[in-house]
This record gives sequence, C-alpha cells and structure tokens, in this order.
Amino acid sequence: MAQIFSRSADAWLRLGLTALAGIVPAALLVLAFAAVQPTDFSADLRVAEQQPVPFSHRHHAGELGISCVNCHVSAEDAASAGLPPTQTCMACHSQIWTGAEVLEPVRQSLLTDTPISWNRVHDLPDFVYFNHSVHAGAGVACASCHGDVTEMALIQQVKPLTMRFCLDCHRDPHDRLVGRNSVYEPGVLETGERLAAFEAATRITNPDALDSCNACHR
Amino acid sequence: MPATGKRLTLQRRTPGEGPDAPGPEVSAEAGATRREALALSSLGAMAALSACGDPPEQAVPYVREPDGVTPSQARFYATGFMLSGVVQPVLATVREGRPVTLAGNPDHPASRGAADPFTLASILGLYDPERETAVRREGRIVPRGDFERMLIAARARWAAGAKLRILTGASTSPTLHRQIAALQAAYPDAARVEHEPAFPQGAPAGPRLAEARTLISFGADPLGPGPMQTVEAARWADLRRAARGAGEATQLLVAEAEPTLTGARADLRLPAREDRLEALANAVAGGGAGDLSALERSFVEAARRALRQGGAQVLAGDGLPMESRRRIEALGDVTAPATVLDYGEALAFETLLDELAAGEVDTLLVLDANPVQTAPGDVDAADLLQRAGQVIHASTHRNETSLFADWFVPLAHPYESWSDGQAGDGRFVVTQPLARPNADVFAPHEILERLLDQGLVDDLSVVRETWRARLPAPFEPAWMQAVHDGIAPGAPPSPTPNAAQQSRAPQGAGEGAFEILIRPDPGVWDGRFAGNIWLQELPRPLSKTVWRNAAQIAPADAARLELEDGDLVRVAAGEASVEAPVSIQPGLAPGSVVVTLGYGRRLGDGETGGRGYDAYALRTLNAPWRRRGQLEPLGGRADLVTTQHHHAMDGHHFVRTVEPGEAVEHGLDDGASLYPGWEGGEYEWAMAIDLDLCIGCNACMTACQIENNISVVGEEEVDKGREMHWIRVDRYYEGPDENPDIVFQPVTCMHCEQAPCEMGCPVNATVHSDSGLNLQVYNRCIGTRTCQAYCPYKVRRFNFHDYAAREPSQPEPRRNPEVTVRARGVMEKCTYCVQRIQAADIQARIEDRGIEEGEVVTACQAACPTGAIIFGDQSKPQSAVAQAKREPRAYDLLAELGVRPRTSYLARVSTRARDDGGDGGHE
Repeated sequence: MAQIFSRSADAWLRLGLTALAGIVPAALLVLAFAAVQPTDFSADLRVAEQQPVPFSHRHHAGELGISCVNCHVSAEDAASAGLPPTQTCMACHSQIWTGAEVLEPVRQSLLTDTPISWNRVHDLPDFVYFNHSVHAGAGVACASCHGDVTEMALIQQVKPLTMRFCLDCHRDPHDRLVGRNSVYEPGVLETGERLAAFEAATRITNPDALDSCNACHR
Repeated sequence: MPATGKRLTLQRRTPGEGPDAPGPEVSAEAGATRREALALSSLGAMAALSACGDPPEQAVPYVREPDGVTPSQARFYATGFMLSGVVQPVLATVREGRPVTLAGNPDHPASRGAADPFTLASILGLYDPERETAVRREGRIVPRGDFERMLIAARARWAAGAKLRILTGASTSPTLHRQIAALQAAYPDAARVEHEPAFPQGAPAGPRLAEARTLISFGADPLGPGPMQTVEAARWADLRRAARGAGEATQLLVAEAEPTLTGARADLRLPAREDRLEALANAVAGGGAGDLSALERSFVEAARRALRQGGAQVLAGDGLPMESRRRIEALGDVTAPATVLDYGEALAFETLLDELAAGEVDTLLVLDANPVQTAPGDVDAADLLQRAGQVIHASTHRNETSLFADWFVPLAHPYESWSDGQAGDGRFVVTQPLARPNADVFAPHEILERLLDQGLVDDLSVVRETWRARLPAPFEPAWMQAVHDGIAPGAPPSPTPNAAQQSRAPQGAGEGAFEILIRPDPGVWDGRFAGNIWLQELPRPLSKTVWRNAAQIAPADAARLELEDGDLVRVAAGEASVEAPVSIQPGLAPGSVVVTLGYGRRLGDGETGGRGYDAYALRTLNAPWRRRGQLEPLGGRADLVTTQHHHAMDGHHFVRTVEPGEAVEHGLDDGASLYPGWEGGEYEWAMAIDLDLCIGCNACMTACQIENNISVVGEEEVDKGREMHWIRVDRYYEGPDENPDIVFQPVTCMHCEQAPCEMGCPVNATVHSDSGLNLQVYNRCIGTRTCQAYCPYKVRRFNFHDYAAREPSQPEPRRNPEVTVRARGVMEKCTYCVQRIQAADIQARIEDRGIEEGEVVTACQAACPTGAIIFGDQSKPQSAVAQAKREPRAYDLLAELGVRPRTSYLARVSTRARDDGGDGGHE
C-alpha cells in the first residue's frame, strides 16, 4: 500500500502553520490600523453625492463670497444650522438666472409647494446631539468640520466626523479655535486667528466638562 | 415617457404596443431567454451591491419657512385641556409643528407649571391612529354634503318646535354656554343635557380646601385624582409649608371607607364604611355617641378636640346625600371658598331619559360623550337612543354609542380646535389649537354653529365672538394677550346652581352585607382615557395595579372569605353583577368593596379598556356612588398585575417620619469610604424630594414618561417586572393591615457619587460626568445587566424587547426629539433630565455665563403639584437644593451603604407619633 503522505508533507504543514501565524496577526494589524486611521474610501469621505439641484458652494460661497449664515441662518442660534427653504434660493433666483434649466426643480418646488429633498451629506448618528450655536459661539470655525466648501462644486464630507474626531477637539480645544468673528471665514484654518487666551474669550473653566459623555449623548 | 436612454424590456415588442403596455410576463417564448433573464437579474443584484450601506438620509427644508419657526428649536404655546368640565392650563412644547410634550402653564395660578397625570397624558390622544375621520350614516361613510342636507331639513323642524337635545359632559366653556343660549333663542325647544359620568351629581363648584390649620374629612378626597387635584394639592402644600415655617404641622383627620390620597396624608385616619360616616359626623356634632366602637370614639373625640381649638374645616364626600354634606360641612368654623365655576344651565340626564322614553325627542346630538357605555346600569341607553327621531354622535372615536346613532360626525381633538373654559381657580383660559387637524374633522363649536345655520363659521370665529364681549377694548391686543398667556381676564359671573346638582339624593339602594363603592378609576378616569397606553400602564396610586381594574376588598373580608389577590368574585347589587378579580386593600373598611369605572368596554380591545369589568353596570340613577350588595367567590383567578409586590418596610427606614421640628438621626451618608472622595466639577447637580409634600399622585411618573420617551411594555411584560418607568412612586403600609400608615416615596436614579453600577459595568457604559451625573451611554451598552444587579435602589430598566417599536399608539412624531429612543438590549434610567441641563448649559455658554439657579427644571419637578421635588446645583450654598439638604429632616435612602446618593429625601412630618403616646413611629 502506498504512503498516504508524501515525504515533504510535514515540511508543508510546518510552512503553512508558520505562514498562518504570520498572516493572521498581520491581517488583524491592518484591520486595526484601518479602524484607527480610516482611509477616505473606508470612511466614505470626499464622495460628492448627486443632488436634485447641482448647488455649488464653490460658486456661491467662494466666487460670490456669500457668507455661510446668509443661507444657514440659525447656525448661531439653534442646534441646527438650518437648510435654506426654497424661498431663500428664490430670493435671488427670481431676479437672476430666472430661466436656467438647472434651477427648474427649485422653481417647481415653489410653484407646487413641494419641498426639495436633498441627500444628506453630513449625517451624525441619531444618538449624537450636535448643537451648531454653541460651537459657533465658542469659536469653532465652520471649516473645522465642513472643510473648505469654497472649493467644492458639490458638497462633500471631508472630515471623518467620528467620535474620535469630535473628542480630539473636545479634549484640547485651544489650538483649534478661531475668534468669534472669524468663524465663517471659509478659507483653511491656518489663516484664521488662533486664540491663545482661549479661556478669556469663551467660558471653559472646566475642560473636563467637554469630554463627559453627556456633552453629546443624552 | 421621456426619451431618456434605452429601456430594457423582457418582451419582444410587437407592433402597435407601447413600452408602457401593462403586464408582460417573462417567458422564453416572448423573447428573453432564461439565460438573458438570469444575466439581467444578476446585473440587478450587482447594482444593488455596489452601494454598500444605507442610501443617504433625506434632508427636507421648508418651501416657505413659517414665521418665527427655526428648525430644531422648540416653540411653546399656552393652551388648556378640559377634564370633566374644568380646564387644566397647559404649556405645550411644539417642535417643527408637532406638539411633543406638555407641562402645566407656569403663568397660570391654577397650575404654576404643575399638571395631573390625565392632563399630561392627553397629548398622546392627538396621535391616536384609531381616531375616526369620516362622516357616517348608519355606519357607512357618506359624503359630507349628506350631513349638511340632513341639517337643512332638521333646522326647519326645530324652528317649528321639534325637540332638539344636545348631550355633553360638564363644561365651563362660555362659548358653549353662549351657543346653547343662541340655539334656545332660535329654536323653541332646544336644550343642553349634562351627563358627566365622573360627577353624576354635578361637577365641583370650585376648590374646596380653605385656609384652615385643621381639616376633618368625612369621605372627601380633595387631593385625589380628578380635575381639581392640581389646584387643591397646591393649596394644601402651601398651607403645609406655612405651618412648617412656624415649627408646626397642619392637621388632617380623615374618616373614610377606602384609603384615598387624602387619607394617606392623614394624621388620624379612621376606616369606616361610608354608611357610617353620617353617624360619625352626628357624633362629632354632639349627637348621641351610643353605638360607637372604641376606634370610632377616639376619632370622634379627636375631631371634637380639633373643632374646639378652632381654625378647622370640615369636608364631606360626594357619596353622602347633599343635605348631610351641607350639615357636616357646617361643623367647621372655616368654610370652603366661594363657588367659582360656572357650568351653565343644563337639563339633568334623567330628564332626557324620560323625554327619550316618551319618544318626544326629534334630534339628539351626543357631543363628545358615550352614554351607551357610561349610563348607569339601570338605564338601557341603547334602547332609548333608538326612540329619538335621529341621533347624531359627534366623537373622536367610534364607540359604543356610535352603534346606535343615525349619524356619526368625526370630532377634532381638543388640541386641534379652539375653545375656552375655566381653570380650577375660576380664571378663564382660551384654549388654542396646537396643530391643524390631519383630516377634515369638525371642531365641537363648529358643529353647534352648524345647528344654527350661520354659514360656514369656523371655531376660531365662534370663540372670538364670545370674547369680543368679555375682553376690554381694544379687542385685538387683549385677545392676543389672552391667547398668548393662556389666561383670559374677567371675573366669573355669579354662577347659577347647576340643575343636575340639586335634583338627586343618593341612596344606598339595595340589600346585602357589603356596601359597594363605585369610583372613577385613577388610571382611565370615567373610561375616556382607556385608549391611553401611558395611563393604562401608570400604576394606580395605592394598589399599584396596571392595565385593568379590580374589586378592592378589606383584609378582614379577604381572610373571612379566604380570598387572595387575583381571585375572581362576583360583585352583585340588585339585578346587576360583575365578575372581578379582588385586590386586597389594607386600610379599607371591612364590609366595603370598591369598584372602579372605565373598564370592561364592550367595544374595547385589550389596549382600549376591553380588559377588566364594567362597573357602570352596578350604578343606578339614584345610587351612582354607593350600593348594597353581595360578594361571592367564584373560584377562578385572573391575572392582576401590580408593580409593587411588597407592602411593608420590614424594619427598614426607607420612609422616615419625624414630629414637627424634630431632626432625623443619622440621616445623611457621610461615613468613611474605601474609595477616594469625589471631586466636584463646575456644577453638582442634586435632587431633594420632600416626602412631607408628596401625595403620591403620579404626576412625576407621567411627566417623565412623556419627556424621556419611555416605552410602554404592556400588561404581560409588567407582570415579568419589566416596566420601564424611570421614576417610580413606592408605596408602603406601616402598621396593622386594618388601618396602616400609608406612605409614598418617589424613587429615581440617585446619581450616587460612589455608584456601584459604574463599578460593575464591563464596558464603561455607565460613567460619571464632571458635574456628578451618573450617565448611561446607550450606544456603548452591551446589555450584561450587571449594573442593574449592582444597583441598590433598583432604578435601572432594561429594554428586553424593542419596546419602542412595539407601540402602535405612540407614533414616532410624538417622541421628544431631544432624547434618544433606546433600542433593545440597552439599559436605561433617570438622567436628571440631562437634555434640559445641556440646553441650559449651551445657552449659558453662548451668553458667557454660568447656569443660574432655577434654569434647569426636571420634568418631574415641573409636574409636581405640591413642589415636593427640588433640583439644582448643590455646590451653590444658596440654591434651593443645598438648603433642602441642610434641613434637619434631610436623609439619604439606604445611607448605610455609603454610595453617597445625590438624591436625598426630606422626612415626613406627622403628629401621629405624638398622638400614639410618643413611642416613636418608625424611627
């Protein structure tokens, strides 16, 4: 009767086991690294979602220089920055570009009293309560979380908006804030005015309060 | 079809057939081969796979933003809710057009921000998916025009003298009264009939508690559930506080059959059958004290002593005949405040019954009432309704009465229509709608206006018309002010005594060993809240039963008849009888049986009052409150579910009682600990609950349920101990079963500084915040339930099933958007209303300041009618909570554990210890 196992079978087995011992931890390491330092692809970043109207922040905020709060009116007063109602679009577009084909859904929305349904780009989990007003008031620039929208033809998410992203700033806000007056400057943060004397401008006497769970979860 | 790209069809196109032709079937004969079909379907599958994860959420802005609305910001509207004729002033929180939560109107003196459970829970009715929206004739949906045409013919008959009767509940609405007067002016024989099942002998005429140091009650329950509870409890608490300030305590002597919330607060309570109360009152008045027992004699003597001291008020219960009530209440030297509520002229219910029986009524409009269900058992309302020319039933739901009505008209919810009325203190409230009706329904005032044929008049115009004559000129600003504030100026006109109130003298009808006491249910009232799942699952204040009613019997009777909780009995009075499970009620007078109204609905299912028995069957027209009858054990058992299975404190000091001016010994937890001390942050949130003011009314529980999106789990789950309430009101009986001390203790998460739960959690899902909050992080929780096992106060609740998804009658739009809706497998518990703390914190940060005292009010604190719950920052020595914790009455629950609870209690004050000969009560 012939041998079931060849001469080299043991060697192959040993080689296989050694490879397995190397590959499995390596794969786990890669996965762990990806979880800690997600790539744009894995975090779904820099994806320009198609929208019912190809609204360009680059054009409106960049080339025309319209301020963020012109349309996102409640950023300073409420939890939600506010998505502009159709009326806001038509305030200008009843005067200019009145016949533009891309604006047809906007005109239809006003005519038929049907809201425009946008695809949400910056979407936090439902158990997170983010409040725009307190961040704008403390000197967190819009660009800190939304990136430089003046460069975006279609709005896209450029910051991960993960819990770690929030906590990085909540644990050490000092270097990441701008003056209250510079909050809406759309440019990158490096040009903003950094506040060394952060405590003087905003009321954070107890930095621990910022990384308590109840700051965001309730 | 627009010419965009190719359209793939599985069928070969035949000439003359468009691409949109219906119903091509896939078949090889018709064109596509099996291979092609497979290829296409796999292409479809690939397309579906290419987008992993959910499609993006939709963000939908307004087309035109309504004036003053900022998405994500709440708006507040003052309005009111009419409960048995009396308006409860409320302040509603409206988010993006949806009313989500209710609280009392803090600006209205009848509320001061507090509200009773019925009022708070009323918001759920607005979202009830079972509400009817169609006009029906004999059960079939008909066009609205048919109803209008019927009215045209009917108006001519009424004008010619045909009888028009309008059956309503009690109502203090001046607009309703004005409309009835207008109908009577237009038609020779039109009248309103009042039928209020909870107050068959006339609704309360005003608050009854006067400023008296001593109150002696013979069966009266001013602090009990009902439309006057908030007002009366606040008055009682004010007196109690004032007396305490002088180092004294108010005195309360109660003789009653069944323990009530008033009786639970008594310094001296005598369980006495209701048919003994008159004799007792006579004895107190100085009549013969011949056949009194020793207990009764000591009560009589104490009452006499109190009367001699002066400053005493005497109240008598609704169950006593009107003449005896007047006689008894005249014993005190302080009399009840003047009558302030005006219910308008109305015929008594019996008059209508006689007219119906004689076949005289041409049209009966039943406006928001359900007489077929709520008429006394000796009245065959269904048969009588058939004898009217026609019956129009206007209601939010189709119910028992709709089956016997010719017309059904859908009614708007009170929060969808304009009305007005008087609050418990007599001040007027204009109640505004909080939302536009979802469907084309009628407002009550609109229907009455249609009877008059004044064209298409909406309810707003009708109510404005009433107030045009009542408000000071100029009208518009005064009207806006009245609507905005929720208080309309104007003194109530001197009321005419209600016709219904005088007409009847109750008698203990029938024979039998037991007296059967018929009471509105503290959960569903007269049955109108039977569809409200919050109230159904709210444990009844004393019995702590949920979801159904029971017959309460005295411990002595239970022992004699060998009955246990849940055993079925037949309660029979005269011809009528019901089968009910018994609930043994310590403190109930032997020989009395208490049955409650509102259950056993013929058309109700398990969630709308179909459970339990129908106590209306035991009622008669002449004896609405009390009958004599029999109790017969049936041998079977029914599921009777309660949330508290133990009754005694068994030697523990959960609820402490002190004499006036006395301090609690070893009250606060300040012993040594092996754990390092807790370092305070900027704030130290803390709570104090004054047990001397708590009346056990459950308003805190309901307010918490609404604010924090607490799920209802259903009777079967409560039976497994899985109710989800974040605050519970524990009730203990101390002393002999025949007449125990009854004490209440609201228990929430104590937010311990050395929290055992935090030491137990394996995933750090429960942690401490810098300001001393014990946080529960839902998205971290993996549901080991270790924290629940470690919690000495048993306040943590585990979501066993996806309870929030299983609530058909609480749709998503009702939920408070400020609070996470918890999922299955997650622990949850009281957060000290962290969403309110965060809101105040955010506002303070924006304004560069700290959170001020009084800026954070928890939901339970706001709802409490007696102000027993105090919340605030204990690191500020001047804050109310810090002051409360410095009081000598302050103590911590289970202080011996050393967990440093942030919630403390203030001991009850009672003179009972002194009366007992000073042997110490429970200390």
